[in-house]
Amino acid sequence: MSSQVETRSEAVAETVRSVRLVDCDVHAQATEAMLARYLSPAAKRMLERYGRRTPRVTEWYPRVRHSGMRVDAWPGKPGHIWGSDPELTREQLLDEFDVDYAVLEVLSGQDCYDPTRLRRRVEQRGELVATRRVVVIRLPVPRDDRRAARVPPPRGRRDRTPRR
Amino acid sequence: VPHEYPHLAVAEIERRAADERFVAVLLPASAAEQLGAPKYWPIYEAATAHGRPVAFHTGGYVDHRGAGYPSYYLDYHVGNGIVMQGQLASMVASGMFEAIPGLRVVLTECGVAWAAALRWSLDAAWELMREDHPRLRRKPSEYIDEHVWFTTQPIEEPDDPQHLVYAIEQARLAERLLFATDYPHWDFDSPKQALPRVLGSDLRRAILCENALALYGLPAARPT
Repeated sequence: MSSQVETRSEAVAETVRSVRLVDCDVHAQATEAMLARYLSPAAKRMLERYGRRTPRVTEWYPRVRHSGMRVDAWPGKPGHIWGSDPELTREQLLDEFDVDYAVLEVLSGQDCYDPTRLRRRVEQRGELVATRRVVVIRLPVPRDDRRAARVPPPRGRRDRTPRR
Repeated sequence: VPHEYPHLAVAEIERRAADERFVAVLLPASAAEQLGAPKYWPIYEAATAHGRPVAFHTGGYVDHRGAGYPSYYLDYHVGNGIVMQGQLASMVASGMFEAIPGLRVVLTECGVAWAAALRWSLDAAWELMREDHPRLRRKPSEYIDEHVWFTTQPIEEPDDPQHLVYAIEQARLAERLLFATDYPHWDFDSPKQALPRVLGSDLRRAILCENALALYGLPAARPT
C-alpha cells in the first residue's frame, strides 16, 4: 500500500517524513458561538433562547468534575471550553507528542457545558429559591383548632393556652 | 450524524463523502435501540458505500452504565466497556456484518481485554443456538475479527504487562488496535508511556500508526 508513498518520500526527503503516530480519539468541541455560524437565523434564535437542551456532563450522575477533562485543558479565553481552542490542542497534544494525524471525536451534542451560563443559572436558581421562601412565609396557613387542641403544649408551658 | 433519524444521517454522510478530512462516521455507543437494530443499518451502509468506517464512542443514552446508576466515580469510570460489550453482541447477532460485508466498526474508549472473553462466550453459545440465527453463516468471532477495531485508551493496565500481551493475543487484536490519547480527558494516555515495552517494537508500531493508516487509508508519509 505504501510503496508509492515511500518512493515519493525518498525523492523529496527534506519535506516529507514517515508517519509515526496516529491518535484515534481526540475530543474537539464547538462552542455555541462557533455552532451558530453554521445555523439559519431561526435555528440561531432557537439556540440563543433555549441552548442545546442536552444534559451537561456536570448534570449527570455521578457528578463528573470539570466534565472529566484535564483542568489545564480549559482555555482561559472567555466563552471557550475544553477542546474548543485548536491552538491549545496543538500545544498540549499535537506538538507536545509529535502527532501526525489526529482523529477528532466531536461529541458536542452531548455536552454544552458553559461555565458562564451555568453560573448565571445558579444565580437565577438562587433568586428563585429566595422568592419561593418569601412566598411560603407569607402564605396564610389555615388554622385547625381541633388539631391544635389535640397537640400537647410544649414542656414548661402546660399552664398556658395555645397561642393564637 | 443524527443517528435517530437515519435518513438525515445518510444525507449528511453523502454531503461530506467527497471531503477526505472526514475519515469515519461517528456515533455514540448507545442509542434509542441496540446498535444492531436494522433501523441504523442505512447509516452503516452509507458509510461503507463511501469507504468510511463507523466509529462508536463511549457515551450516548446509556453512557457508562449497564446495571443502573453507579454510586461512585470508580465504578462509573471503568464501566465504559460494559455497554460496548452488549452493543458488539447485538451487532454480531443482528447479522449486520453478513448484510453489509464491507462494514468496518471502530469501538472507541471502551477497553479491549474483554474482547477475548466475549469472543469465547459468543462462539460457544452460538454453537447451541445456531438455529435462531439463520443469517449468521460463520462463528461470531470471525465477524469480530473481520469487522471490528478498538482504540487503546483506556487500555487495561495489569500489574504484569505481559498479561496485556496475552490479552491482545487471545482477542486477536494485533492488527486491530488503534492508539488513542483521549485528549483532553484527565486519564489521557501519553504516546511515550502508555504502551509497555513488552509489547515489542513491531506491535507498538502497528498500534501507534500502521493499523490506523491502513484502516483510514491515510498517507504513510506527510509533509514536515
